[in-house]
Amino acid sequence: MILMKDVIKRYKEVIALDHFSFSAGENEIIGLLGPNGCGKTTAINCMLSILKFDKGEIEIFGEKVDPNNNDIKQRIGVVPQEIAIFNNLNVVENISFFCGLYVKDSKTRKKLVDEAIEFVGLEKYRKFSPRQLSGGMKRRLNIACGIAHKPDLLFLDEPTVAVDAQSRNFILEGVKKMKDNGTTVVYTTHYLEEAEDLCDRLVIMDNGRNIAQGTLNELQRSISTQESITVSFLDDEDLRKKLKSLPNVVNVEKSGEIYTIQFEKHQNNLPNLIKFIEENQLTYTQISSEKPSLSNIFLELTGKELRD
Amino acid sequence: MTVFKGMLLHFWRYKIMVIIVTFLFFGIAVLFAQNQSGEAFETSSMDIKIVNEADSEIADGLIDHLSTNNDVDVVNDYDRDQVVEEIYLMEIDGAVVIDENIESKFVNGASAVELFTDPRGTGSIHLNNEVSKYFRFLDADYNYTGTVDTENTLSTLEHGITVNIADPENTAEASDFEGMKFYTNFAGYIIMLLLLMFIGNIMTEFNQPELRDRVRVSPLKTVSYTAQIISAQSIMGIFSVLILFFGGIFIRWDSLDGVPLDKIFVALLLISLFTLSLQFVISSLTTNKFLINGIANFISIGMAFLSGIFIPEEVLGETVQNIARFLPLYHFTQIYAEPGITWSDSFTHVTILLLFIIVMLIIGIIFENKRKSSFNL
Ligand SMILES: Nc1ncnc2c1ncn2[C@@H]1O[C@H](COP(=O)(O)OP(=O)(O)OP(=O)(O)O)[C@@H](O)[C@H]1O
Ligand SMILES: [Mg+2]
Repeated sequence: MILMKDVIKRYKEVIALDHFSFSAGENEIIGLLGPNGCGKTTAINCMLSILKFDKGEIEIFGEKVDPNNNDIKQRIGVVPQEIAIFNNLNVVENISFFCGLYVKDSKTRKKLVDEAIEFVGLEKYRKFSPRQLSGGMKRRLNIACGIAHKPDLLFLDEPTVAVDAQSRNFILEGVKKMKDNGTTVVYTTHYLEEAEDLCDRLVIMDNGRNIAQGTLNELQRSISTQESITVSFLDDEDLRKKLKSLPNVVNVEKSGEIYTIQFEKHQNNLPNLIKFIEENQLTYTQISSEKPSLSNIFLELTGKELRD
Repeated sequence: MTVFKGMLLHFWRYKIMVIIVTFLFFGIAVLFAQNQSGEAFETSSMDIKIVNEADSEIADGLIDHLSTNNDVDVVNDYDRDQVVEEIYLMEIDGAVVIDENIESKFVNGASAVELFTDPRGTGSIHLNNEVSKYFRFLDADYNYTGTVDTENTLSTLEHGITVNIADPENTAEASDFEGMKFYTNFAGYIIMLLLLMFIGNIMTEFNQPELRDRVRVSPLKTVSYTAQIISAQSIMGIFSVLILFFGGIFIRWDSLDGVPLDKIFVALLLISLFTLSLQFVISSLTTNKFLINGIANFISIGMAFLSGIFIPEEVLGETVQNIARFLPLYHFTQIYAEPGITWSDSFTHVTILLLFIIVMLIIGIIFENKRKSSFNL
C-alpha cells in the first residue's frame, strides 16, 4: 500500500529523513514511533507530497506520489498534528467543508458528516464554534475533519495528544473499527502503551532513520533483553552482586527493596530465581515476570528513554 | 463548490458588522443629502419687503439687485412692530429699510440700511449676504472710480451671479451632481476599506498554513480552489457595489438630474475589483490579522485623502495633486468627474484603473508563487 525507499529530506542543515524506508500493507495499523524531532511528521508530509524530498522513492497504491495525482489523494485521509480547522465555522460546517473537498454530492456528504460526528462523539456540540470547544474536543473535531470521507488510507499524526483517557479510548476504539472496515492506518505517537495496544506493526525512528520494524513480538525477540523480572525483598542486604551471577542475567537494577532483573534468554529464568531465593533463605513479597516492553525495546535500540 | 460556500459562510459570519457599517454609512449619507437640499432651498426666491425712505440711485440699485431673484414689495413708510410680526408669522422672509440719507452715509462708510430677518430661517443669512454683496461691489467701484455708478455695479454683480442663477435647471443639476459625486467618493472609500478588512480577515483564515495543507492533500485542483476563492470574493465585491449604488439612488432618487449613473456604476465596480486585487497582494505577503487591518485602514484613508475624497482636490497643494495622479482612487473619482461626462472623457481613467488591477494581479501572482515555493523547502 505504501512503499517508501531510501528517502532523504533535508531542511537546510538539518537532515530530517536519512535514508528512511518504510512500508505498510493492506488493512493494517502501522505505528510510527520515535522521540520529538525524529522525523515522523516529515515522513508523513513526504508521503502526502506536501513536502518535496531530495532523494528516494515513494509509492502509494502502487503509484508514484505526485502533487497532481488526484486519484491517490481521493483515497487518502489526513489528520494533521497541528489542529487545522476554521475558527469561524461550527463543528458541522468544518467537517462538511473538508469532506466537501472529497465528496461532491451533498446528500452523501451530509450522511458522512453525521457519521464522523458520531465517530468522535461530538453529537452534543454540532453547532458549537471551535472557540467554544475544549482543547480535547477540538482535537476530536480535527480528527473528524480528516476521516469523514472514509478514506482507504488514513494518516493520524499524534491524534491523542491532550485528549483525556476516556476520549482517547474512544478514539482508539474508533481507529480499530476503521481497520475492521478495511482502512489502512499510519499512526504516529510517542505514547508507547497506545502503540502496543493498537498497532499491528511498528516502525521505530530515530534521527530520521528507521532503526527497527516489525510486530511487537518480532521487536521483542530482536533485542537482547528477553525477560524482565521484578521482585521485592524484605531483606536489607544488597543482593545485586549475587543476582548478577545467575544464568542469563544481563542487568540488575535496584530501587529501594525492588529489584528489576533483565535476562537475555527466555528459559527457566523464574524457576532459577525461585531456587536462588530458597537457597539463600530470602523472603520476598512480590514477584512478576514480563516480556520486554516497548520502552525497554526503545531504550535498548536508541540508548534513550522515550517519555510521554 | 465547498471552498466557495465556505468563504461565503465566513462572510455571513460578519453580517452583523456589515449591517451596522452599512447603516452608519447610509445614515451619514442621508444627513448629508438633507443638508444639500437645505442649501438648494436657500437659492430659491424670498419674499422681501423694502422700505425706501430715500430718493437715491444707490437705493434704486439695491432694489434692482434684490428684485433679480426675489419677490420684492417696495413701500415708502412702515410700522416697525408690524414688520417684525410679519416676519415672525413668516408672511415675509425679511425686510430692508433704506435710510433717507443713504447717499451720505454710504460715502462716509456708515451702515445705510437696516435689516429685519428671522434668525431662525436660512433666509436671514441669505438676505444679509445679498445686501452686503451689493454694498461691497458698490464700494469697490466707488473706491476705484470715485463716483457712484450703480448701473456698472449691477452689471458686474449680475455677471457674477448669472453663472449660478441664469438657468435654474442647470443649478439644480449641478447641485444634484455635486451631492451624488460626494456620495460616490465616500462610497468608493468605504468599498475599499470594507473589502480590504473583511476579505483580508477571511483570507487570513484560509491562508493559515495548516489549513492550506489540508486543502493541498485533498484531490481539489489548485485551479478550482483559486477559481472558487475568486468567485466568492467577486460576489462580495459586486454585492457591496450593488448595495452602495442602489442605496445611493434610493436616498437621492429625487435629485438625480445630470448624474452620470452609468459611469458611477462602472467606477464603483472598477474600484472594488482594484481593491480585490490589492487584497490579493496583501494576503500573499502576510497572514497577520493586525497587520492586515492596519494596512487596510492606512491604505484606504491615506489614498482617500490624497485623492480628494474628503477634501476637494483643489484645496490640496500641488504636490498632493501630483501624487494623486498615481493613485487609483483618484482615477476612480475622475470617471464621473463632471455632470455631462462622456465615455470618451472617462476612457483614460477607466483604462488606468484596469491597468492598476492587472499590475496588482501580476504582483500578487509573483508573491504567491514565492510563498508557495517556500512551503516546499
Ligand atoms: N519547516 C522546517 N524547517 C526546518 N526544519 C524543520 C522543519 N520542519 C521540521 N524540521 C526539523 O526536522 C526534524 C524532524 O521534524 P518532525 O516535525 O518531522 O519531527 P516529529 O518526529 O514529527 O516530532 P514530534 O514528535 O515533535 O512531532 C526536526 O529536527 C525539526 O527541527
Ligand atoms: Mg510531528
